[in-house]
Amino acid sequence: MLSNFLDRDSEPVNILDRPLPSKRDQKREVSLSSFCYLYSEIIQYHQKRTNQIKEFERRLADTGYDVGLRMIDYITWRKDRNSKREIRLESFLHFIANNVWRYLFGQSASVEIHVDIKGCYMITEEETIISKFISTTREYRNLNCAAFVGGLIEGLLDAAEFEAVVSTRSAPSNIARSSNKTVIVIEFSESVLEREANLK
Amino acid sequence: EKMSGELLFVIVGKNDKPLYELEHNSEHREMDDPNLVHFFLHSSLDAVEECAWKKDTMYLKVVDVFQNMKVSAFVSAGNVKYLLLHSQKNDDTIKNFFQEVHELYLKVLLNPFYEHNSKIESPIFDDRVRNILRRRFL
Repeated sequence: MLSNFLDRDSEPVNILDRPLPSKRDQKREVSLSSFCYLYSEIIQYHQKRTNQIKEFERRLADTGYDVGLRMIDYITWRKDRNSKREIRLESFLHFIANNVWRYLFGQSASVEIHVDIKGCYMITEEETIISKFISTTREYRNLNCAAFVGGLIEGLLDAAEFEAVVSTRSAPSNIARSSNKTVIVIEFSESVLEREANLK
Repeated sequence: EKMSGELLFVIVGKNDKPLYELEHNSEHREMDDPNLVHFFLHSSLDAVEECAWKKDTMYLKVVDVFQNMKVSAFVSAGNVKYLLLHSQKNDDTIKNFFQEVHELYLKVLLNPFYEHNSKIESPIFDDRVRNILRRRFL
């Protein structure tokens, strides 16, 4: 693989000259097992540095945050080079649940509106594939390894200027008795809700 | 179609932070104050903000005018703003220019060693942007 990028003088091609992977580049997909291996190392890295569940989840979320910041521009470009930007709240949430989810996990998630809290939405998915191979001990029973995804969402939202407080929860799954479904709760800030109301 | 005259290109990130700047001056500057063009470009950021939340396209065309110069803007999904100060109108060329530089920026973003919203200091990036400018405008 690497030899494709070396010319006769063995000088590596600069990253700026390499083509951006597009939708048609099927070979560029990463297998689930490769990713889970990497993800398990990330979790072990954080496990060595904290034993508090809240802090552990915060660290996972921070790791995801940086990914989300960078991904929004790329995923939009990948969907369509002449794409439009998302400036409406619910449209953006659907972009995340469909385009972003499909790019990252090969499946879609669903968007729900919180009945009690104003300006609060939830993105739920039945099975979180990145935590598929993770089983926790009794002490870490309450740890939600999908916190990484929650952080990623927060990064996407911040970059697109839809600031929100994002938290990741688990709830009993509707389809599989033993596993939990992941619920990502997104509470948009006042300024975002105001702006959205003005656009209506 | 070729464009001549003063061209000033800026990439602005979050909190109005300039990430990259490129100036091309094929004629002598007519204005007395050399900083005037920079000042004007930055003051047009307000107009870009306003326009960005009204239109959902990335290419916003001309957002501000000053004397004989126009500012065209392109805002990405992650709210990175590309501004071009120019004197001649040329929508298609400018749009293609923005899209090409944006693709270059995407590659910078994918580099984990590039800190998000920091100045782009890579001389290769600078060289590639100059190439795009030369190819599209001159």
